[in-house]
Amino acid sequence: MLYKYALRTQGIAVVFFLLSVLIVSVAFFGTTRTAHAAASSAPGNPMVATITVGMNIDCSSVPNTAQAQSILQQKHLCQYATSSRSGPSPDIVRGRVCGDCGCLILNLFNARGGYLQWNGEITSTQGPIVNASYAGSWTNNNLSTVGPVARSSGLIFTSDWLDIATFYTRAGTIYGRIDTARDTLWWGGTCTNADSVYNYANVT
Amino acid sequence: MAGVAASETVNADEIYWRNQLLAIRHLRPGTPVPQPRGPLARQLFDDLLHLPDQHDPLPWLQREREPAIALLMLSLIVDFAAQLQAGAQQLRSLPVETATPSAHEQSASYLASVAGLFGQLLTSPAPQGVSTPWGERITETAGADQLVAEMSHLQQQSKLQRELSPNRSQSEPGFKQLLADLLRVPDTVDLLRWLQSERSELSARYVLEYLLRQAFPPVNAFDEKPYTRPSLFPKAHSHITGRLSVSVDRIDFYEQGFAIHLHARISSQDAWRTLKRSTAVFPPQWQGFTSISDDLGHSYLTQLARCERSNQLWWWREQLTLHCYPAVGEAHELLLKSQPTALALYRVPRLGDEIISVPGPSLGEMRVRVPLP
Repeated sequence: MLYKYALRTQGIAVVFFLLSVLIVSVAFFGTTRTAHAAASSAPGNPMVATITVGMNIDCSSVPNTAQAQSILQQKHLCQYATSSRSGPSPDIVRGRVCGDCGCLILNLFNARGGYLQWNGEITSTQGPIVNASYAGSWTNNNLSTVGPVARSSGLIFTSDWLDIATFYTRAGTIYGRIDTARDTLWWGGTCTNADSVYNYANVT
Repeated sequence: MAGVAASETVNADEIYWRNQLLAIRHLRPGTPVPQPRGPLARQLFDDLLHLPDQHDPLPWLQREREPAIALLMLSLIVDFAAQLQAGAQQLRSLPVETATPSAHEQSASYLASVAGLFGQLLTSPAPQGVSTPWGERITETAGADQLVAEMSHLQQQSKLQRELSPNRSQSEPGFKQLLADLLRVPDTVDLLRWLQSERSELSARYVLEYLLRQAFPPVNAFDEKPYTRPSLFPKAHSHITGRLSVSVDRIDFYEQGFAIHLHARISSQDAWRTLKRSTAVFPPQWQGFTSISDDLGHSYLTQLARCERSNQLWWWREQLTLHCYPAVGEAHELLLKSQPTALALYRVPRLGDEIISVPGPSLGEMRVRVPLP
């Protein structure tokens, strides 16, 4: 009994210890980040790393106005992109794109019964991610139906965020793509995807 | 049905489907249930609904409905083959002006990789025109001969050498592997009898899932629908053996049902390894409560609408949303159960895009009561 109590107390103590380390680290790095931001303009001493790995238009946040749609159409963007206008994109699979921040990964699986399992994943090689989001779409090539996909995490603290969703696409060859992805690192840096990823699955 | 003790290994998917069948039988009277498409599918579904609760549906289907499940399984496989042929035809006809050289390379590489499974099936012409899928038109009394003839035609198109005991779908129980086996069954063997004698268990699993999936409202049925009452924040917790800890964070109520938002923590070495950059594609997962009922004795269908998983030190953190059908009505309390609580494990066959459920650890029973205002 005493042993159990001791174990529990020890457990609680460990939890409190870890919690305080976490709080202190976040507070500490939060403060220094502000200081670094101020110091970053000093020549020869770039304290803040800016990681840029390409930008794409965020199709999920385009205003639903005639003008915006017309511009997208003229510029062949989002749903008017040449590659996704008629079924599969020119390349059939590019399930993983990595940059100096980490990787953006898309895996699609047959969940059967007309359902597609969508696994979108963002990993980080620059320390923990505090939040992440992405936008894209799926297309049923046999039925020419499409569905938008826009997802975001809450507050996380992880090096690997896997977002699993099930979509009712009906049976067919389903192509999925992520056009834009973004994550915020624990120290405030932002990463965006270097390129889009796409994949497919034969849903039964 | 017999209970499963903690520490045994169980298939989480099978437990889930069994529980959903029980739930359909005990929905609030008058709750509309979408019917499967096709006469044979509807007949089997109806049989399952009238089966007493103590009967395990999988052995029952194998024992009592063997010819019917073989017929439906063959229909689904023939439909799948037609879909693969159509997909391959689209790949071959990628417009030259839009396709990059790598697209042609990828397309050729894909067709070469599946040739080992399907021979020349995917380089043969796909069926012309749009017709109702076999799975939606087959009946127990009509259509079997034409269906078998269609499968024999696919065998001929594949130009594959026949094998006495094709066994790809035994070690890798996926749709593609089952099609690959059926393409190799000798002419002298009755295809439906082969399915009954050699792949009865696999067919029963697929058919049960195919039927029940169609009874669910679409997973996005609640999207952007108005709330019918204020959200509930139960802050209810439960945990098992230090391996799994679960919190019910919020319940949103809609006209058609309710959404339960949970978070869970699963202790696993994989999490730490992933943190150090080795990849764990399918670490152990907990997919939420499999049985949801209320104080009036009614059950609710439940499906996992969303799962986010992230590694944090030596555990996985999951944030889950379960969609439950129908709405709570007059109930005063919800009972969320995992009986047993099984961690789901999956693997992907070597040549496939299908997740194969494999047995995972059973952790024992978990119950959470949520009073409703």
